[in-house]
Amino acid sequence: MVKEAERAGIPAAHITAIPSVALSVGASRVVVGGGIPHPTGNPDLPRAREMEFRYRCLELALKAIGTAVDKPTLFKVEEV
Amino acid sequence: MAMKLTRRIFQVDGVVFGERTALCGGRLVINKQELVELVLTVPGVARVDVELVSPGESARIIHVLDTIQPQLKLAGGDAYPGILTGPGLVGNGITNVLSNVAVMECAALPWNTTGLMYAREAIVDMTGPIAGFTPFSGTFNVVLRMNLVEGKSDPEYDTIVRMAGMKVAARLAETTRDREPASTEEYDLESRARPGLPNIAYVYQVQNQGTYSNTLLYGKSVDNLVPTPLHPNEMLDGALVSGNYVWPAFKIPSFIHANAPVLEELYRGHGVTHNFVGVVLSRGHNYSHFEKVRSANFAVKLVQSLKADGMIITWEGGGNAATDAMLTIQAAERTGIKCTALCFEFGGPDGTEGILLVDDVPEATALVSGGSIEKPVSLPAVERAAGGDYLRLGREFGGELVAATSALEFDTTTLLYCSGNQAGHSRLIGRAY
Repeated sequence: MVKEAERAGIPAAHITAIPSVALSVGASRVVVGGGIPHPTGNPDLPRAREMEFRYRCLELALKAIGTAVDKPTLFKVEEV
Repeated sequence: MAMKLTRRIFQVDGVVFGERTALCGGRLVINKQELVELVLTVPGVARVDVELVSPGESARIIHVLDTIQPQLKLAGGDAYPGILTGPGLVGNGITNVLSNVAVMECAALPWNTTGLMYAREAIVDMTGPIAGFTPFSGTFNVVLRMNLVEGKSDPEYDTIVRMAGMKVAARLAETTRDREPASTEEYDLESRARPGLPNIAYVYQVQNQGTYSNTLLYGKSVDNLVPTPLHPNEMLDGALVSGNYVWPAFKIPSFIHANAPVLEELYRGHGVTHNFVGVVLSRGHNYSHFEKVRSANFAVKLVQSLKADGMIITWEGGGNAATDAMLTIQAAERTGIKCTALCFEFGGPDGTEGILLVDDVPEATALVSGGSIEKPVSLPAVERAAGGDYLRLGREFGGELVAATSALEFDTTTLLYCSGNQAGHSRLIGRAY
């Protein structure tokens, strides 16, 4: 889906727990989020910090969309 | 780890209902009422019917959950340890197997769960174009068509269907006591190993993601497993039991865990073309890249400790599990252990579209294709359905019920039981052209 969106001229970011798959498929902007059962979250964190983690995932994905890339590129969410 | 197992093989030529449950010559006779009452001793089963489905019938079995080979240990513990009995060690002694009889747990498990971890429709056709996709078109199937009581939790339903299947399997296996088998097989690694042959290990990666997609080792799911060594005889005696119902194509039933074709082949060539040095059990579907790398490294560490020159890996499950396996292949090759894998492929209807594998590594240079799961299939109408009357399809789109005997069309083979061929058990292959 990410590749098709890019092909249609829509910049896309892929938040994932398995970056190797996203990179091998050729996704342009790969955001490394939480775990496979919770790609945009971290249930081990207390509620308030988990919300911050989710926010950072989304924020980084938006930042990635605004970043020009010429090859599959990894973006890593900072620890909360 | 020295183990010695004698398997006494009872191959039947028919299964029929009759007055007394017993082996009569080559025929297994079943008292239906006895099995019905046995299943009803499991709290949580509201109703059950027992149906017999034989090879060559125009029949379709649906709602298939786990499938079990009846086994009776005459010495050396109990078969399928940790389910009906304590987790006593198996792999030694004598085991009777009803080799071509399969007990099938069939029920429409409630679709309570949100997300992906729910029991999908699972289909076996005994004849027609997809019969060869599953090994169970060739077995005499004792189908337990169960209705379950309401109000249980998913872990409870999971246990209920397993207890029903295991009790019936144990009862049927009991018919072999005091009988002489047509053939016996000896399984031990020590007496036949020959110096000078390459040492080969088998890394057996199973699925474990939560209720309805777990694998049990001696009765407990392998949630937190770091890879562990197993003697192949432990698998033959049922140390692994399946509780995985999420994707019928990608599951490995208990029957196959106890009769893993790659394991059997490694045993056949043991001391002839290679020395089979043992099994390493690993869990797939680890939750993060970090945990996958950790598990892969542990698996390869154990393969090294078995002094293996090479290893074969198979894995259960879809895309997520491919990453665990590929990282294991990578870790092995980097330590000089040659590795080959057996796996299904994608590739679209003609094998050229999209990706062939969800994940791969440059070190994975010797993969054997077990066939594509993205081939469209047409299933003709059949005369008879077992396990249920209506297929439950398309939950993501609201769900629909379809008469089980009707002609069916599918874009992929994901609902066809065992068609992902993940342990080398079906007749599917992939060829380059």
